[in-house]
Amino acid sequence: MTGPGPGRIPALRTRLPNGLRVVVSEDHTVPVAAVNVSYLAGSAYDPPGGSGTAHLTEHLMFQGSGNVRPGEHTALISEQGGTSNARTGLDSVSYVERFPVGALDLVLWLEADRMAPPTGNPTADAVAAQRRVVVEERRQTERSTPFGDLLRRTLRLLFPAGHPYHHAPVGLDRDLATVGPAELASFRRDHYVAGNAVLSVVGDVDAERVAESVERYFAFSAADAPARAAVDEPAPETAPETAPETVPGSAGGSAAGGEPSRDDADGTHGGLVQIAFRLPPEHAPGANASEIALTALGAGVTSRLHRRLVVRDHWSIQVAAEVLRLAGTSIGSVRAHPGPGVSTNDLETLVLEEIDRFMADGPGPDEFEAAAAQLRRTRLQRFSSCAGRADEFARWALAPASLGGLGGLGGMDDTEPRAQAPDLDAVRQAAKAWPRGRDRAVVAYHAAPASAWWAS
Amino acid sequence: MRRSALANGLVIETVHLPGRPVAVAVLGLDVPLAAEPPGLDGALLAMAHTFAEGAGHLTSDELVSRLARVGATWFPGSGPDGPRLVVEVPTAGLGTALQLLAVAVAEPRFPADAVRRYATRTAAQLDAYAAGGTQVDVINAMVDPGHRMSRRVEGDADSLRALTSEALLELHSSVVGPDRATLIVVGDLSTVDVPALAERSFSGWAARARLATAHPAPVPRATPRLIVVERPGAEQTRLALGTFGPDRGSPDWPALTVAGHVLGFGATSLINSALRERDGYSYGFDTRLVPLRRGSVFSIAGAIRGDATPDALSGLLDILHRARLEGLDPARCESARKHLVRTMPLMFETPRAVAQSRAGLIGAGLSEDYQDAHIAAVGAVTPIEASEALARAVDPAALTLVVVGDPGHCDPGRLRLAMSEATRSGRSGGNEAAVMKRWR
Repeated sequence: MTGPGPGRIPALRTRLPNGLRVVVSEDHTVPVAAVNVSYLAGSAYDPPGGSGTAHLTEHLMFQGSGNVRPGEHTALISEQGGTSNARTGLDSVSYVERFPVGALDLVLWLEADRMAPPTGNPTADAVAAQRRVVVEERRQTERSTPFGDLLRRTLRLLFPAGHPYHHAPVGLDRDLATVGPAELASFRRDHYVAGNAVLSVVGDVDAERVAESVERYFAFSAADAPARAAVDEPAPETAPETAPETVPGSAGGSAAGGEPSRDDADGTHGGLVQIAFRLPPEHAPGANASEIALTALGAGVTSRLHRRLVVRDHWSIQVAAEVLRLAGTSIGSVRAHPGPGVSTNDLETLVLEEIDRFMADGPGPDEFEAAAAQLRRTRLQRFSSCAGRADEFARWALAPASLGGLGGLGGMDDTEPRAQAPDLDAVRQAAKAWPRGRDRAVVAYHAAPASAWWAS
Repeated sequence: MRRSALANGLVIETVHLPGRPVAVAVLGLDVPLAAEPPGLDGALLAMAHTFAEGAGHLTSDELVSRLARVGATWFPGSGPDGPRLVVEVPTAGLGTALQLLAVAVAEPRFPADAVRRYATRTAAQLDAYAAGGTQVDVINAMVDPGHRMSRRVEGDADSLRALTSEALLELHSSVVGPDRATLIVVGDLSTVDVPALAERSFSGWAARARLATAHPAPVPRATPRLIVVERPGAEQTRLALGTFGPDRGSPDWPALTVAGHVLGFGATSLINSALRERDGYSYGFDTRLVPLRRGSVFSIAGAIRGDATPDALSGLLDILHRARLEGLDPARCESARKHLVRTMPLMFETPRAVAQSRAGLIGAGLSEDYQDAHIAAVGAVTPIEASEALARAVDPAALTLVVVGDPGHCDPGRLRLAMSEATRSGRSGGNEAAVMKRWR
């Protein structure tokens, strides 16, 4: 029993003639609601040489639409007590509003105005200003934050050049410099169409009435939805020749030999080692088992790495493990910060040994039980807020059916695959199938080890 | 919302949110930072972080395993009144989680090894993450060095090194007790009787005679300061500006809440529409009006393109100066006022949001009806009142500034000139200025 998932929470699902997928779920706890409009237009869809295009487009979507002046979208919702935001991920870009439910019609109207085909290109000034903002955003989040470029480095190792997941959403400055009004208009024209989007509404609403409003506001003519990015292609040079029990999109279970691919960097903020590898797509069978295994290995104070490397041996001062959930192939990562007197290289060896040991034996019953309980809680929490639930619905509806998602709304009445709780054996099998050898990616930040000051 | 108390003085507050299966429990301890012994800055936060490292007859392993098996997670932290423990757990596990919470807080062991691990990790994190130029840094810089609030909650490398198991045990026995603690539980409580669970878990926690623990009001420094921290090679400069503001009991408080919103909340605020949307200097500035137990702190912080440092600082101060001189745009004030009044329901959506909000208000010593009264007062604020409250509270020429960046971008002379010009104040050398090679 894992609690509610999209397959069990009642929701009204419909698809407009123009292809827009609509999910509405009622939650009458508090008089608030959330709207999530997600387009399959994340950084995986950046044109070649145009990294950062999807993200810059997101910024420009706040610079006005047909009937709305720049900044007015945010201001109008704010005046009603709500907040609006957006984020660009690898798979999709999501525009999210949270608001007292009285503002529902306004929010739907604003999102419809923003989805409507634009009448012209963005102005050069608006593009230039937002490009400068994005450059500062990248400096702040990627370069001024300790280990802020970890995602960029990881993606580069795990996915070959040309793969949709090879680069981070924020892009490269040199690519951004080439993205102008024409490129942005073209990206938007191709990807911001109703058939490429999901509208999900959760909150203290009447689902039937919301569906009526949506039909009224979002009645654009259909445009062709673009082709889906090949996010599930395995990396050509690392594809295993025989892959027992391979799940789609995963390089899992590989017998790949050799050394991990690696990236060594100066640790201006101290040392850190991260080992990352591909995992099954977020909605695929097996994703849940892998996440439980990774949690048992490295997440939280009951995890094996914490008990051994931090508490027992003091090799590390802190460990972490997490899954970056992606539609094509998720990414599992384990991170460890070296303890006093320990080099990043030594810590890397120790962490790899523990991962190998864990893959061979899997978690013990207690480790399994603790990890499964932790994930059940985080899952329940995700579905406990309107915005969280709206996001889960949108992700599921956008993920391709071949990778366990809906690829539309067709199978939404089915029980969600991830909701079937895996048993200990399934979790052990999942860990056994994690990639090895050169299918692992190591990012290491090296700093002079701190001395063990308490010993003095 | 229901309130009750145990015989030992522990106050219990519950809020039932139907359909929210993960409950949030916050145990707040009313212990001021000033209770920390000299030289042991960070002892209270260390205590919060090591409560789970073994207590009563339970080893650390047993304690955290039992919590994990019921799906509970455990966040140590601190609020305006002192250390705090937050537990999130599916309601079916609430009984177990409260029992473990009670043992941890009443009979902690603070094993030497765990204290040392905490201190090592925290010292390393301070080194890596305390880049300077944040709201915390500017608050530290504004307070008289004799007051605990002039130094970080976490302490520093020296004070962390000095922490011992014995010191934490002694501090615990002298200042922590149920009569200075509040337990808040929020979630779908239709199938659990929280007061009964709390009675079973916490009634054995004995109140003891303890040191007096008043919350002294922070003493501001006599003069505002300009502090430049040099970080050679930094692409961006971090700017943080701050000043002390009125108490929550002041009639200016609701008006300043509106004014702060106009200035700095979101991308369409005055500051962000200029420095972000128009100039592209920054990803965004964050403006805060943070209440203290007494008084408040008004602060603005953000990162800007390094070579634009003097221009961005001038721009920022000019916005404050004009707002003071000419008043705030009435339409913006109206819009902010409406947002603040209408946004209330969003604060009650999740157990986490409700628990945080309640813990903050209780920690600040405010009564149950404070929030409603505050919102009513905000709803009545006029644009003129907002402008006048801002003018009284924020004198741009009297702000303390912390600037962290490349020395080529952060010459103190140029920064003072920018300040003096923007505020037409002639503030050019009368303020205490310090240039540091490194933060701390």
